[in-house]
Amino acid sequence: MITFKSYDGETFDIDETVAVELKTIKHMMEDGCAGNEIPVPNVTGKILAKVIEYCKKHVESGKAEDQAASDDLKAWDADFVKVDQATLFDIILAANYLDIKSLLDLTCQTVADMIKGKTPEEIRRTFGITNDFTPEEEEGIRRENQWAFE
Amino acid sequence: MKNDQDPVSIPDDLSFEILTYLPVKSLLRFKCVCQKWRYVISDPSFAEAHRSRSAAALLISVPNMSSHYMMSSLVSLKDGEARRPIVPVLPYHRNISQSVNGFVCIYQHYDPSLRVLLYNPSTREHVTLPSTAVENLGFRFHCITLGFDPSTKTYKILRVWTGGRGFNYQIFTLGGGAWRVINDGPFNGLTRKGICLDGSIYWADNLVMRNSILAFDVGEEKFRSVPTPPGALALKGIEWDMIEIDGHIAIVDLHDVVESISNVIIMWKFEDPINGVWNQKRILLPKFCIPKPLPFTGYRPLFVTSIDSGELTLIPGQFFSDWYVFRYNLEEGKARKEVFSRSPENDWNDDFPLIEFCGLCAYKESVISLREICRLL
Repeated sequence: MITFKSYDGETFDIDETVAVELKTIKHMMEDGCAGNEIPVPNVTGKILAKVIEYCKKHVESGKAEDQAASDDLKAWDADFVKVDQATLFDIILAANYLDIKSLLDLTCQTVADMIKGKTPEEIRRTFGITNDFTPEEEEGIRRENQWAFE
Repeated sequence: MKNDQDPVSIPDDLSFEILTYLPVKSLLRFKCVCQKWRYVISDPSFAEAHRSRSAAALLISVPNMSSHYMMSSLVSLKDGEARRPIVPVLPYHRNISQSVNGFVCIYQHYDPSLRVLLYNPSTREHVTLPSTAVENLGFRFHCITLGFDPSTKTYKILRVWTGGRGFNYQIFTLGGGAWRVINDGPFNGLTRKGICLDGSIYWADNLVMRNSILAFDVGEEKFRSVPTPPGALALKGIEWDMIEIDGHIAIVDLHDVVESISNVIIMWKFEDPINGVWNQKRILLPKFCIPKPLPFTGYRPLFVTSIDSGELTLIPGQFFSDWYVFRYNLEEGKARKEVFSRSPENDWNDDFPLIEFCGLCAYKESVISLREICRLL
């Protein structure tokens, strides 16, 4: 059993088999840097709980050998990412920091699917980006790829 | 309490990671978001990272019934849709080179002006290469192969043309310069399509006659032979295609199926080019993949390529009602039909879906900018 402690002091007891899914933690354990309680400073309790839930589920499901089990896991994943936008991005940050490739892949794909139909202005609002093009420059880019804007 | 309207703040490298999951159409639009996003999306290493995730599709050239038979149109098969890209310029464009990093060359064997068009089906961008006429008169035909040198990240076009007195080889680097002569090209020409893999282009022209695969190092611009021990593979006729599958060259022999002898095709994978080792795999195709013989002689009823990892894609030589292909999964030993519905964007009245020999290639969705590559800005 390993204990994780989140940024805001919440603790979670986890089986070692689940803990190693978080590659960052796995390396810490291998290097002997991990004591009884592992601090996870960049991740809040709320997000860490979600991450652990994901890793537990995927470890339990093991290598889904048959199509039915694999489909079930996909359906579970689809439900798992039905969260608000802010939480989704927080999970991306956590998955990146903790180096959980499959979770990063799942969440990035989910965000991509959410934003793929947006206009450039909507994207700027989502990511908090300032438009640093002049109107002429922006018009030039639109004209180059007119069909993509239709 | 945060709500969905508030902007998220994530580091740039994660934003750009998310961008690699987007379709090309979205990426082209998002070039407008800000200077940094335009810079990243236009960057070749981003295009490469994006390509490693992206889906593959087919580009086919078919004759046009509404006009002179020599006219052709392109059809792309992707995401369940058959679409006719309107690519201007060449009146008889029908030959498609193989695709490199998502784009292709379009040309016409018998065009004495040797016109070549670069085309990226994903971005719908096309660039005409500066036209060059050959020095000799009596031109017969030319063949174009596209190559990429990963060490210098340059694209080159190799052309072989003949005026009846032997074959001439020239090379052109995209982004600069003029056509340069290559002196040690094979004297009997190159008729089969080449495949560019890891900085070399491979052709199977010499496979049967000389037991070797011809290779061309794109960086060094030199030809070499990759020998195959005699008897290492046994091809039955001429109905075979050289493809790239999972990073290897392979030859798929369709002879028995095309000649209605059996339902077996044979895949010869060039497992070990250093030692000339080919491995054979016999594939029994399910009945529904077997094409009807074509009423026209000289036209192949079946073609093969590889679009996705671990899969062979079989393409009928003529489409009767729908556009479709068969995807054969090598590990599972199972095939499935994939249908493509005609895009409402196009007019299909002059549809004559018969694939011609050089008019087929698999390509990967790619956001690469041809203008950037050719330095036309």
